[in-house]
Amino acid sequence: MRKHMYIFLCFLLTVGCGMQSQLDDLTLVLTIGLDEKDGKIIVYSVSPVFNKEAKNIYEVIRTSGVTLRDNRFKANAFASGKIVGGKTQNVVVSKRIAKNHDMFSYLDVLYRDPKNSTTANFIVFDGPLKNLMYIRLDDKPRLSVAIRDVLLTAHKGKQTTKMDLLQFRRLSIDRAQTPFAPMMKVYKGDLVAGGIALFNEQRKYVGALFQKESPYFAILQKQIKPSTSLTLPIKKQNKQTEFVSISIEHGHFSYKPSFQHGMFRFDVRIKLRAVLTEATAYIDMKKDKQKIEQLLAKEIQKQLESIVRKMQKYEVDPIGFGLYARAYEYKTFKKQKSWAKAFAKADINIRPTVEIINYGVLQ
Amino acid sequence: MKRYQFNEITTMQYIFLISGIQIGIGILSLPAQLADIANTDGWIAIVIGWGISIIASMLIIKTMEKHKQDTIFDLSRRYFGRIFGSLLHLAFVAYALLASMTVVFTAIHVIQTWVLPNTPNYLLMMLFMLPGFLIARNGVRVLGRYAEFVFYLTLWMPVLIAIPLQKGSVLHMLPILKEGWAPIFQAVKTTVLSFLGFELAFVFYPFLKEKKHAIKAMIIANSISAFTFLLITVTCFIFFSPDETPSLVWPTLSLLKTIEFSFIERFEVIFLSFYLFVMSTTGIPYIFTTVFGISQLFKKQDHTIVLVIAVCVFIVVSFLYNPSFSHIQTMGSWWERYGLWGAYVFPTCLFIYVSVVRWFRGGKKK
Repeated sequence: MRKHMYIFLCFLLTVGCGMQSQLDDLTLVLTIGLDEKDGKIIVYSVSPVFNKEAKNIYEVIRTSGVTLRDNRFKANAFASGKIVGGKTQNVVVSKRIAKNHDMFSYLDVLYRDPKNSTTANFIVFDGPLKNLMYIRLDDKPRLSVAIRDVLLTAHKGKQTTKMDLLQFRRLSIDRAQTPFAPMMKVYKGDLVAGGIALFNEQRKYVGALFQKESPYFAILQKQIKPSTSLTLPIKKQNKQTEFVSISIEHGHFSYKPSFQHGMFRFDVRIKLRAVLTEATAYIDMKKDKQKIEQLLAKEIQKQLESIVRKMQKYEVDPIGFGLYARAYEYKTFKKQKSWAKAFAKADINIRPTVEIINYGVLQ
Repeated sequence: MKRYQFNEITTMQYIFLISGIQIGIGILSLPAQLADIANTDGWIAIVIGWGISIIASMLIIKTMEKHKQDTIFDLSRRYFGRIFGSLLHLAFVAYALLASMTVVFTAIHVIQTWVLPNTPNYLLMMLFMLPGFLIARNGVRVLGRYAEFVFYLTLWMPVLIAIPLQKGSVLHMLPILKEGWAPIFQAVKTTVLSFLGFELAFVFYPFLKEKKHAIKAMIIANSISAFTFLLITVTCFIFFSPDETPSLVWPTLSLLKTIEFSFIERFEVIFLSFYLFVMSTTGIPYIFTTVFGISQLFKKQDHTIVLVIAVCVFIVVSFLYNPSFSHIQTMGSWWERYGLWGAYVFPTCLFIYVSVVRWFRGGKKK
């Protein structure tokens, strides 16, 4: 009797085996691309091919339909295996679709179905997506891996930012912030990541920060680590523009919100500790250190103010000034119908200071 | 004379048994429910709920102390006569049955949604019922040992939940008391129900070896649960924005989904598999209480036969009925409504009633 029971138990443990799927029978979608053409959604699914006989190491399936899921059904007709979305690494949307549609309506399935990965990178592509999907990258790995690698490297160098699907949702739903995303483009046949796409409260693309503005965006976000490099122009006495490069190692931030005369005011104090890595002209560091520090601080202030102005123009708050407003001025924050509109009117006062902690092995 | 001499449990086992029952399915959705009512101030409601549940469990212990060898089933007969006593007995059994049904079906539903979408629910039910049967058959001592074992086995899980904390923003929690006290008191109703489980002290108290530690044990058990609830709720609030938490059905699992190591993805699958242990320490004591109650009703010493029947009924039910998510939610709300009466109102009334009756009877004896 006991023996029979054990055998029965063993059978029970194998319940999952009836539904097994072989890895080479699956089409693992690593990158999803979303584009729009003539009012229809075009979906690209990029998946690796595990077949020795196949010439390409990845396949791109292009379908057009109404939603993502609808496209997946259609894609099953093309795919060499059953389509699985749980391993998605990148979700790329074209600038055009991001501009015209609320991104949420198309991303819903990725959040609703728990089998889908929510840690995939969300990327806005500048240009029609077919440029990216049918790109020939002979010196790079499979497309999906290449996209991720290029993005992560650019993010580390502060040339762009990083956004996963979950974070995108959090920023979109939060009343006090607006979402943003890294941008990517194809430039002379090469994949380039740079710049930051800004979305408004309706989750529509409204504008972008340039690649050279990205490091300043990172500073405002308090994301300095591992280090942020800047090259800044400095005017010397003889009116010639010289350049100084610094690498910011530490930062101390304080964002102080207040509400005066019917508008929000933020006093932003940023203390940056930097290493001087390059100077095109001779600087007497012993004598001129403080002067240089002030000049650098002024230049950084100019840049920071310009990107904040840009964000106010677009009525977006990707930095999350609203978080401070909500935390410290809740009563007035609650009265605002739209935080982004209130932010656009806010008075933002940025005062950075720079301290050079090290200037290398030269005097 | 000790009736349950061979089934006594130590104070530690008693603590883990009670807190194991308390920490169960509720924790998966608690942050969303709280955020819905009281925004990020929900954690204050947990602290208040903790206080209330401690008071309620102390009342239970104070009542049970008067007859140290009686479970609630004996007690109801002693004080309410045969007919009313039996009705009360039945009500308690029905309550435990409802609770165990809710726990088991929710567990199956969660597993089906997150881990095994293609496996039919009766197979999962069989897999759940086998260990459940083996543990519940052996009585309270094994239940206690199992609870202690599971507690140690799952100690690493709170540490894991704290990982997303560093990605969040504490600013989400500010200002404290966003909307004043009113929504917090509303949320207390929810938190009080997440502490449900201590009412099984009505059944397990007679098995406790050192009864002088009973009150201390109840306080510690409630505190362990309160700490767990607080940890998870605060982590969810800090990680998700206050506007996002209510939009998730199971925020705790969505939270775990974000944990990713270079060698493993979808960490919530592993977490859920371990969480089955935690859910089993909720489900099995309720099943045991149901079965124990029924066998007491028929004056049977051995509850194995009733257990076999109960397990079979569970499996057969799962063959015929596959509850949808809204059914499970309805079941949960029934349990909560019933639990509010069973765990808070009833012990208070019983305590007053028993004290008064004893005062009268005590007068007569002398």
